[in-house]
Formats: sequence, structure tokens, C-alpha cells
Amino acid sequence: MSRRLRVILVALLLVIPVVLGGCWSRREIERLAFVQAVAVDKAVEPNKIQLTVELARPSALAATSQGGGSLERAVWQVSATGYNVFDALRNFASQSSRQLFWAHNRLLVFGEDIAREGVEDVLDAFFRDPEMRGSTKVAVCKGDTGANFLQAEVPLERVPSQGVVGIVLNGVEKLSTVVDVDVALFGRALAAEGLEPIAIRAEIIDLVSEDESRGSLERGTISKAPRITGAAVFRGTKLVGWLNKAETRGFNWIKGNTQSSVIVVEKPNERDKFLSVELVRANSKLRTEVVDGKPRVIIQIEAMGNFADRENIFVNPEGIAPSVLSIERQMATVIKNEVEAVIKRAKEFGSDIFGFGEAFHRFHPKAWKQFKEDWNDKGFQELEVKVEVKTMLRRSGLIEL
Amino acid sequence: MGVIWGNLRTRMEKGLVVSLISRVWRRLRRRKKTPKPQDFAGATLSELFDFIKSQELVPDLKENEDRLKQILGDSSDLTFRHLMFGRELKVPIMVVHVDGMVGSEALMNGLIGPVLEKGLRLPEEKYGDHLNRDELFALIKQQVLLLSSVHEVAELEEVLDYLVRGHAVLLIDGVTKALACEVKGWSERNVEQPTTEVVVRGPQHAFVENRRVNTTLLRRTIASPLLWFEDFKVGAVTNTIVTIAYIKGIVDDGLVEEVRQRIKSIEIDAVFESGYIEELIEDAPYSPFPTILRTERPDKVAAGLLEGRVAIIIDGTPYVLVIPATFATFLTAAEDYYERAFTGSFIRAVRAFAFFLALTLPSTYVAITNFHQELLPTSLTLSIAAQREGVPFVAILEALFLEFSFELLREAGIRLPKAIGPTISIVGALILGEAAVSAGLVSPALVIVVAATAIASFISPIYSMSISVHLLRFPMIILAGTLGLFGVIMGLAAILIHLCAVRSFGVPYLTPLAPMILSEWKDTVVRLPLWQMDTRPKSLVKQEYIRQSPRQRPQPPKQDDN
Amino acid sequence: MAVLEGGKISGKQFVALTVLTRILAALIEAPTISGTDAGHDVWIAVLISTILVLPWALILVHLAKMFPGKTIIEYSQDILGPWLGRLVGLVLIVYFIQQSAHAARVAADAYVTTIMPETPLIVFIATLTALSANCARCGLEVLARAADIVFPIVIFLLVLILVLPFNIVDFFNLLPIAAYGWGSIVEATFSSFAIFGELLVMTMLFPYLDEKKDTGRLAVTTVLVSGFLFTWLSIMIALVFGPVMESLILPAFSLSRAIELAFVVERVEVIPLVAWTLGAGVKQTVFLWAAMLAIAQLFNLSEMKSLAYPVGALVAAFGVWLFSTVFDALQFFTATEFGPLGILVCYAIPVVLYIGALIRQAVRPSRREEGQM
Repeated sequence: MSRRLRVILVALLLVIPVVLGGCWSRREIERLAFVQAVAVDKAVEPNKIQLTVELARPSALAATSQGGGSLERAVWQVSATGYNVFDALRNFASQSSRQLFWAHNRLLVFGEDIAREGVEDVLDAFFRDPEMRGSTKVAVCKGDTGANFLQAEVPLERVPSQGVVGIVLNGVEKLSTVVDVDVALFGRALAAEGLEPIAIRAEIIDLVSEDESRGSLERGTISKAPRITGAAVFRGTKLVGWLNKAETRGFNWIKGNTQSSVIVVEKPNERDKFLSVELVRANSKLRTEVVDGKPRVIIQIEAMGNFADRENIFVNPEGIAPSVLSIERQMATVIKNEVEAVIKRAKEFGSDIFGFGEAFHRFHPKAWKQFKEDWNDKGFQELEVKVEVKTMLRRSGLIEL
Repeated sequence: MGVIWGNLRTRMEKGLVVSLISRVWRRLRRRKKTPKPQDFAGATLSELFDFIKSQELVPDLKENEDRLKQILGDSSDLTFRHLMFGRELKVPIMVVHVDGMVGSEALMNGLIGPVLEKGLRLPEEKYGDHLNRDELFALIKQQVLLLSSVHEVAELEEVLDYLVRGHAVLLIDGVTKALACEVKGWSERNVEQPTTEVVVRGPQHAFVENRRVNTTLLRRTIASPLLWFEDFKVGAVTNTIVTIAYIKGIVDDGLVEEVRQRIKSIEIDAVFESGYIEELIEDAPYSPFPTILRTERPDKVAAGLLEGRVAIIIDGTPYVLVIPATFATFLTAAEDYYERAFTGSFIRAVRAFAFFLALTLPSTYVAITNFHQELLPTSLTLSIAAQREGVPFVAILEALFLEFSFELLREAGIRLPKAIGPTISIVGALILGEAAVSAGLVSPALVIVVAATAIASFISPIYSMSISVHLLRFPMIILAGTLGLFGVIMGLAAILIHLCAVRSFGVPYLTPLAPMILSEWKDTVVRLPLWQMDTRPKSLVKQEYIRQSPRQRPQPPKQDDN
Repeated sequence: MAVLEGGKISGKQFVALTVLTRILAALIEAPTISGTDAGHDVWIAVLISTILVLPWALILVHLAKMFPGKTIIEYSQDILGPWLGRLVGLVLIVYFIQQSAHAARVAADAYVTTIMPETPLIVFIATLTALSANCARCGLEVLARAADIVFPIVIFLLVLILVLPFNIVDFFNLLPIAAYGWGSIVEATFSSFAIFGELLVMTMLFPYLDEKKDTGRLAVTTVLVSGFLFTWLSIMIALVFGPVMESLILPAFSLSRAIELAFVVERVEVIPLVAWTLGAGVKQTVFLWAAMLAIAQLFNLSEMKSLAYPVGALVAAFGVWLFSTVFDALQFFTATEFGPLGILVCYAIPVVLYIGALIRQAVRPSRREEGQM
């Protein structure tokens, strides 16, 4: 009896899911529309938002590897509107034959308009839905809509958003004049006390090259390309302004995010002649103090670089030691200027993107209670920032300085 | 021509009708009354057995002959040879054997020749007519026969038994005893290379169908008086001899007794292969996993014996059973010990991984493409999606279909005559690999998955284990297709619980992983160098735990010794 | 009377079983002590409760030593007399069934929340329960052997999700200490205490240990190992998520999603998934087995195997009925919901029993010998 019961139960265990389970959460992989990027803009109708998604077309993507034939566009853009993100998402169902699948989304772009008005309604959906991923990059398109930005393509990549993300990563690695912000980081900044979020600043530029020069790439309609540089500054969930290249690098100095970059300094003794230093390592340390009830921040930056190139080769009238010193000093000046510029800018925007407030919260929790209320408008504005920069030139490649 | 054919057909049909009628008639008769022993018409097996048992040898040779003929149904291979012993005495002697089972040379030179010669040379004056038949019997047994093995038998049943096992039986007129003379000599396969468990390095001989050759192979591997063999007769009709082998002193006596009991309790008509015995004595009859190891390698059996296991050798099959067998046994090959320790350990890890892969790869593929598209990198996901576009089946059906056709190929490849085998594999490879993909019936990614699974599943050195994995893949795919990864995890958990619950002759199947016996990990999870394997498995051996003396690590002589 | 449970477990298996029983809570409930506001200070609460739980664990051990070979169901009748003792036994049975159901329910909820939103809860609960019941039916030894295999796997997976996010940690996230006030930490400690109460199941396991001497050491090991895992997990989550931590429903899952290493190791959310499924399975089975044993002992049944499927069905039904929404589940161990009741059952009962046993011993020291006669 018991053995038979056991056999029956095991059989049931196998059979029940087959009979019942059939189709609850199952979705065939080819019936999904993989969202590669999403743009959020204000819709024409009032109080509505417009979502534009960039959907990958797997068959078109696969066509590359087999070679031959004309290359179709590997993505399809489609827009839908709604009162909030969830509403708009569901409205895609009236246009897309496949269910939207978000787990492979790389990029979230806000149009400037909606970013200035505030993005909190939008972001919530991106945190809540388990399909959305924290690694999605967050960008704001300067002076245009996000939908238009999605039209811009890097001719190297078949999926536009892949190009954009590639530029961001490349920029972080080689230039440090961009910021790498994803949904998780953005959300963390929103949740923290004394820290305001920033986002990637995206722009659309005209693609200068002619069609012929692009060889057999027959995506003739494309004439716009993305450019990623600088950063978008938020206060809370509202966009308040932009950082340019130098300011963004200043931001990265403070945060210790600078990985590699190029610092161009004037040649010692020669005006309008430039030489460049390749940055190899940079660290920053943040120290917070409360002096007489006033907050003070000391930023110590250490930068290490290699001499990269200069204009007149093999001629160095000064000798090595004095040149090194003066180059190092100039590097320090450049860095310090950039850091001070970005702090000034952030104060203008009234947005503590550096997390100075958070540092006070951590290390001076008692004092923080006084600043907490109007940190961005008062404490941060009055904050005294001291910047100390130490630089070092280490190598000069295969030839002497 | 047509006439002959028609004639033949009518005769055949007639024959058929007659046999049918007679069968029905016999059955009816059997119901009605017990048959007379003299005509066996309609007799049941047990009645026949009883009859044989009740019969005895009689002094009269002719009667004995008739009786043997009757019981053996006057089979065509039964051969009687009548001799006259002595120039003057003329004692009738009969030699019975089954044709084809005895070597004629041994029969001539060892049995018939000496008997006749002795009869002629027997000094008449000394024995004369007074020669007692019993004395003659003893004389022949002790002084005449040039054979190594002669048994004196008194029962007709025994005579029959020896007869059908290839002995020649010598009967003397007036004596109610017989001499069973071992003159076996049927043609047989030689000891050859193993076919299913091949090694690159290691002994290259395998067991054969003959039990005696197999015990010899073992004896030659373990030349020890403590290697003990015990014979059992199993199979009411086949009378197959089943030999258990163990090393006295190492083996746990309780285990031997348990094996004895289980073998003795078998009541079956026939034993053709070790699989019969295996199925009748194993602990987990419903398990998809084998709990008894079968192998055709004498070295593997010998190694098992030295670990305190018991081997069961079954006459008629080259596959010997080794018990108890744990899960790890099936992922172990003899060569692990013959190659270097690192190689052995690495290959074991590969096997364990392959086992897991073979079990889960197709189901994981189904689960991921059907439920968890977020788990793969974007490019891979899009690539699979592109491949799946246009495939008419849902992924689970596609996977089941492909796995099933792989099983077809495998089975066809084994059963087909060797000459056609390659053809099938070419056709299969072409159909499955090329045509199905290019016709868009299956996606290339799945073909890769199935192929990888197939290779992985055959990595287990024991075919029985591979088959179990093949079997379990299908429910796993179904679970994955209905419940996704949760289903896969549940399937694996169910298998795990089952494995934990199973025992093989008292030893938990997952020993030494669960229960965890760290001292046995040296020869399961990894294969340590031989000089570190100082102990026998604790789970098997009760008394002789120490295998060798410790600290045997070889070292070059120290410099200052010189 | 026939032996209800013939199995014996080794010390290693005991620790594996009890720690695995706690894995589910470690992955789903403990890291943020859902429902409380302690935020990144949760680790303090976990640490405090771990230390405070130790004496309680030792009481359990001592009780087991005073009544060797007996489970809490049996010695509660010895101490409190047949009727009160049986009442305690009944309460414990309900607690065991509730815990078993809780395990299945929480794991099922997690599945529905994360990766399979359209699948009905009952499917997960039913499948899990069917397996658990099957395993519990096979007895303690099979369960212990399964734990032997599962334990290293789960610990390995846990260490993976605890180590892999090393590149995104920010150690200053732990500052300031007591950011939300000590009040919330105390509240979290209370909940953590209620969660720790599930170790009460040890009292059912003690009699089946084959190494009686080290019982105390084993219990302490269990408490410390699980406390260590809990603390590490909540610290790691705080280090990665900082201020976001408070709002996470499935912190371990989110943690695994945050893992991204050099484009090689990413999308590894399957790790906590496997870990909590296995953890839930073991926990459900252990409590199911405990409930079966308790029922058999309380009602003097001759065997317990046939209880597996009926009690399993009860557990499944209980699991479906336990919470109606995920918010109930989150609030479950807080002071306003199940917390006080859990503490009463898990802490008050053993302490009362212990005091009772001490009094009995003091008043009539020879009683135990009489009882054995």
C-alpha cells in the first residue's frame, strides 16, 4: 500500500506540473522583444509621458555573421504613451507583436524637458520591476528628446545603445570626462542623505562623414551620432544643470573615479606649445571637519602620470629635473582648477553631487543633524573646501623627456 | 514447383493444427489427472523434477540407458558408448556424454583408452571371475582413469547434472554408482580485451563467459589462499552456477552471509546474465540507478575484493557483479589508479562534472530559453532568439524531440550489425546535424546542447550508469519546461533525496559524501597517491582497516648519505 | 512501543541540518530584518541577538542532558505533568507545522516575486511540500545525509554572493552607527530574536545525536555559524546598498543582481535562488519531520511514517493560508505580528521547562531514578 502510494505520488509530482504548469510563466525566447534602450519624454498630451523603446531584431542581428546581403537595421524603435511608466508599457502591446522583455535593457535616456520637470515617477518602475536591472545606464539628452537620441547611432555598432554604452565605458576608461551612472547608483544617490544624483550627459551630433565613406553600411538614413561628454546634475529627481568636460573631470577627481586621462599643460618657457601627460593613477581622500559649527572639507588628490608627447622632439634645453618639477606643478594647477570649478558650479546649482553631506552624516552624525534640513541651500553653500593636490611624473616612454 | 510449394504449405498447416490440438489436449489432460511418469506427455516442470529426483541408478546398464534416454528425451546430442572391460571378463561398461561438450581427445586418451587398455592387460589369473564389480569400480576410479577430476556419484539426478555440464559419465554393469569424469571441451571464446571498459594503461584482459576461466583470472590476479570461492546453483531449469568470491579476513562476514542469503532465496527458472542476479538481490529495485557494480575487468574486481567487497561470478556471462557499490564506484575507472595521482583526480572531477552536466544541461537550456531569458548575456540571448525564430516547435518539444532522436541513434548504433553501424551514424549526423538545422526544424544551439550532453553522458565508465542518466534527462526536461529552474532544482532535489535513501547491501549509496567519511575521500573525490592510501574504506571493512604501512613516500636518497 | 525514529545523526550532520534550517531566514528575512527600520544597522541587531541566544541554546542542551533520549514533547510531560505537558506539546506541534509552512511559503513568495510572477503560489508550495514529505518519510537519517550534501553546496553559494560583490562595496556605508536610533535596533533585535527561535527544533534532534558528549559544543557551533552568516550577509548588503537597503524586499537576490565582474560574472541571481530553494526544502523537511515525531509521541502512535503525507498536506494548506499578501510576510516577525508569540513559544516554554526541571530535581532528587524503574 505505502509503496504504491509513494509511486503514485512521485508520478503525480511529475505529471501535475505538466498538466497544470503548462503556460503560466513560460514565454518562448523568440516571442520576446528584447528592449535594448528606452527613452522617456514628455508626451504631446498633457500629463502623459512617452516611452520609446529600442527593440533588438535578433534575425537582423544574426544576419551579420552569415555575411552577404544588405544590412538591415538591427533595431526597431517604437513609442507609446501613458500616464505613467506602467501604463505606457502596457500600451506597447497595441504595437508590438512580441512581449517586451526588459532584462537586457542597457540604457535609460531622459529627454531634457522631462528631466527638468522631475523623473521620480519614472524611476520607481525601474526599481520595482524584477525584470529591470540596476546596471542600466541613466542618461539625459541635452537639448533634445530621448527618442531622438535613440536615433543617433555609432556606425561601429549594430545596436545603437551598445554604441552609447561603449562610449561611456571608453570615456570613463580613457578620458574621465564622463560619468558612468546606472540605475542602481542613481537610486542610491536619491535614497542617501546629503548626496544628489548625476547622470550621463548625452548629446546628438551630426555625423560628418558622407555615405560613401562609410563603405557598404547601407543604413543611409543615419546622419546623427551620439556624443557622451560631461554630466547632468540633478537635485532630487529634477535636472538642474549640466557639467562640461573639465568640470566633470573635476567631479571625478573628487570622487576618485579618474582612471586614466590626458592632462595637457603648456610647455615650460614656451607659450602656446603644449605637452600632454597621460594619467595612470589618481586617488582622492576626503576629510571632513566641523570647525566652530561650520562644515569644512579637505580633499587630497594624488595623481600620477607618464609623459606622453610634446611638440618638439629631442630638444630639451632645460635639463630633466627642472622640467619635471614644472610639469608636475602645472598638472597640479590644472587639477585644482578643475576641482574648484566643479564645486563652484555645484554650489550654483545648489546640488551636493559629491556627497559631502553624506560624509558629514557618516563622520559627524551629531553635527549633521543641524545641517540636514537645508544642506543644499545653506550648509553646502557655506561649505569651505580645501583642495590639496600632489602630482608625480613617473615615466616618459622610450625616450627621455 | 507450385505443387511442391502447395504440398509443403498444407503439410505445414497440418503440422501447425496438429501441434495446436495436441497442446490444447495436453493442457486439458494436465488439468484432469497427473501423468504417468513413463510417458511425459503433459507433465509439468515440477512433476518432472520430482520424477527425476525419485529415480535411482540401477545395476542393469540397459535400464540405466533407457532411463537416461527417457529423461533426456532421447536428445540427439546424447551419446552412449558401450565397452567391454577385460579380455575374458567382458564386464559391460557404458560411457555417456553429451556430444560437443566434451573434448574427444580427453575422452579418448583419458577415459576410454585407459579403460580398454587396462581391461586387456588385467592379469586374469589374479582376478578371474571373482572380480567384484565394486572393486572394479574403485580400480577404474583410482588406477585407470588418466583424468584430473573424477567424481563418484550415486544419484541419477547427479548423473544428469554432470552430464549436462559436459562431464562424461562412466557406468559399470552391476554397480549402482557412476563416475563423472571431467572431460569438458566445448569450443569457447578466448580471453580477450575488454570491450566496454577500455583502458589505455592497465591489464588488457577481460572476463569471458566461462565461470572457471573467470575464477582463474581472479586467482591469477590475487594469488592468495584467502581468496575464497563459494558456488551456488541458481535457476531451476538452467542450473546456472553462481560463484561468490571474497577475501577471507578482509571482507565483513556479515556481508558475505547477507549475499549468501540473498542468492539462496532466489527462485527463478533461468539465469542468463548477471543482470538477473542483480535485479533479484539489489536493495533498490525501483531505483533508476544501479546499486550493484558490474564489470568485465578482473583487475577491477580484484581491487574491489581487496577493499572488502564481494564479487559474484555468474556462469555464462563475462560481467561480474561487485557488491556493495556506491555512487562513487560508478564514476571510477581502473585506470585512475594506473596513471599518476593528479591525472586520476582530475579525470574524476571531470567525470563528476560530466555526470552533472549530462543530467542538467538540456533541462537548463529549456528552463533558460523558456523562463529565465535574463540569465544569459545579452548577445548570447539574442543569438539564441535568432536561432529559435522560425523553429516550429516550442523549446521543450524541440528538446524532447532531439533527445529522443539521439536515443534512437544510440540504440540503432548498438543493435545494428557492425557493418551497418557507421552508416547509421553518418545518416544520423547528417539528418540531425545538418538537415534538421537547415530546414529550421531545430535550432543549432540545441543541437550543440544535445551533442554536448550526449558526450558527457557517456563519460561514466559504467554503461549502466550512463543509461540511468539518459533516462532521468527526460523528466528533468519536462520539469524544466513546466516550472523552469525551480523545476530543475526540484528534480535534482528529488534525485538527491532518492540517492540519500538508497543503500547497497547496508552501505549508504552516497558514501562517503553522505554520510561524510573524510578518510574515504582520498579515493573518491580525489585519488591520492598510493602511498597515502593507507586505509581501506571504513564503510566496508570492519576489522582489517589498515591496508599498508604508512610513510611510504618515495624519496631520493639524502646527499650526506653518500 | 516501537521505535519511532531509528536514525542516528553525527555531530557534523546536526550542524549541517540546523544551519541549513536557518539559511532561508538568512537569505530572505534576516539581512534587513524586514519590517523594521534599522537600515544598515541591522547587523548590530543580528550580532546582539546571536549572543543573547547562546544561553537559551545552552538551556536547551541542558534540558536534553537532564532527559537523555527524550524530545521536548516527552520531557515536557515529565516536568509539567501529563496535561500541561501535552498542552505544551500541542503548541509546539502547531509551531512546527507553522514553521514548516512558513518555509515553503516564503520560498514560494520569493519565486513569484522574482522570476515567475504568473505562476500560482500553490504550485511552488505543493511541489516543495511533496518533496519534503517524501524526504521526511524516509526518516532522519536520509534527511541528515541529504543535508550532508546540500550543506557544502549552499555554503559555497552563500560565500559566492558574499564575496563576489567585493568591487562595489563601500565600507563607509556602515556609518554612522545607529543612524536610525537605538530604538529601531532594539526593535530589530526583537525580530531577529523571534527568527532565531526556529532553533527550537534542536530539542527534537538532540536525542538522535550519536555523540552525546559534545551536544553543547554543537549547539553553540550552530548558533555561532548561523549568527556569523546572518551578520556577514547583513553587513555585505549594507556595504553594497547603503541607504537603499531599507527598502529591499529580497536583499540577497538584489545583492546577487548587483554582482558584475569584468563582464564575466554577471547575471548570477540564480545563486541565491538555488540557495534559498535548498534552504527552504531542508527547513520545511526538518520541521515537518519534527511535527510528525511530535504528533507520534504526543498521541503514542506506533509509527510516524504514515504521518508524512497527511501532515504534509496540512503544511501545504497552512502555507497557502499563512499570509495573504507579501506585506504580511514582511511584517511577520515584527513586534506587532507574530514576533511576541514566536518568542513566547520558543523562549518562554523552554525556560519554564528548565525552571520546572530544576525545581523537580531540587525537591525530589530521586525522582528520575524512580521514573526509570
